[in-house]
Amino acid sequence: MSHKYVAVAWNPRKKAFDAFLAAGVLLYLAVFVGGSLAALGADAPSEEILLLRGAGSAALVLLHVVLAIGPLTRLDARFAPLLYNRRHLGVLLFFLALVHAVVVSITYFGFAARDPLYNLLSVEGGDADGPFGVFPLLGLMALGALALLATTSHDFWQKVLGPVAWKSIHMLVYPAYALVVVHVALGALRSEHGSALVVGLGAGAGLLSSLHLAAALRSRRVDEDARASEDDWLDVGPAERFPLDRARSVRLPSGARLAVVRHAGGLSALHGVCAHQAGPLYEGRVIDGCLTCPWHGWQYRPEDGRSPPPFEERIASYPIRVREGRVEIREVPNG
Amino acid sequence: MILRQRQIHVVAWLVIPVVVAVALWTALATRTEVATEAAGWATKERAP
Repeated sequence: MSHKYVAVAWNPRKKAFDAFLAAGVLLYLAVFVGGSLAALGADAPSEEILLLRGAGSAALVLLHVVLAIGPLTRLDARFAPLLYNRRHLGVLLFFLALVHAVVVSITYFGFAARDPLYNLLSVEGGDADGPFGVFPLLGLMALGALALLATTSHDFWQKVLGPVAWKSIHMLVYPAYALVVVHVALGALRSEHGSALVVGLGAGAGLLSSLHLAAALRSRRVDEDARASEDDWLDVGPAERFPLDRARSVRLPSGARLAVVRHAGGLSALHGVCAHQAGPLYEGRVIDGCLTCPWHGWQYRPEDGRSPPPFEERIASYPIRVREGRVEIREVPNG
Repeated sequence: MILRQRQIHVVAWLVIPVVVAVALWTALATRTEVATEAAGWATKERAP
């Protein structure tokens, strides 16, 4: 949430998370390169090739992790701390992909006998001096998309672009993922005899797809449908169905969703979508007297939809009443 | 707008497994053609 724009500050938790992440990646690269050299002995590829494979595989694993965090958080709130740090994971995976691309460029393109640009852009298969087929170009396209995502992974760009445009840009991660998988399949996978990479890529894509579709199915579920009652009021169900301090989703006839929540001050109905990243406020809880978005913790007062001072965000609130034990709301928001 | 993004999201995750399956199938089907040069690729010496 913002009062005036203030860049995201580092805090001890973020520093600890980043240190853990950096140590994990360095350990992975050390084990990958060192383990390959020790296991393969004289048959081991050169150090550059082990480094580019290590960086590439680490980026691929992190890409799967980044893509799994969103649906996991939707399915189980205990994963929310990972969502809080997801941007750092994304930026780190871009740097790993960049290391992979730089070492590939030096090793295979910079020192190849043929023109590097011809080798990169030609889709024809060649020999060990290139061209190498279409897969390097697919990798370059994926790297471009990841670069755009990494550079805009900051609150500054979210503020400048607005949540909808920012989210639209960041949906580029889906084509980027598809490009990466095809890049790996047509590149590294074809040059190996083992089945581990085939199984890993297939299982990774299957798992991610299942998680995202399961989360989408769950988010389609609506707790209550609002039905016409009398005058302009809509019936949204018996009052006892609304638990204390936990929002329930209510779908209006227009299709819009509201977050209806019972709190210490009574019942309130707020716009169901968070002003930050369009998160599901209707899945939120009341924390410190405010309805709190499960994605990044943005808060709104149930009484009027305003963020607590000094923040200035506001979402619409709706008239709500209890009549004969049933909760009723109006579709037109409060002024 | 948000609804449209949700629909794109669902379509994307229905399409991606198909893309992955086709890529894996293509890679496996053409694997033997490149397998012989794979060792050369992996241990390629730098040109002077």
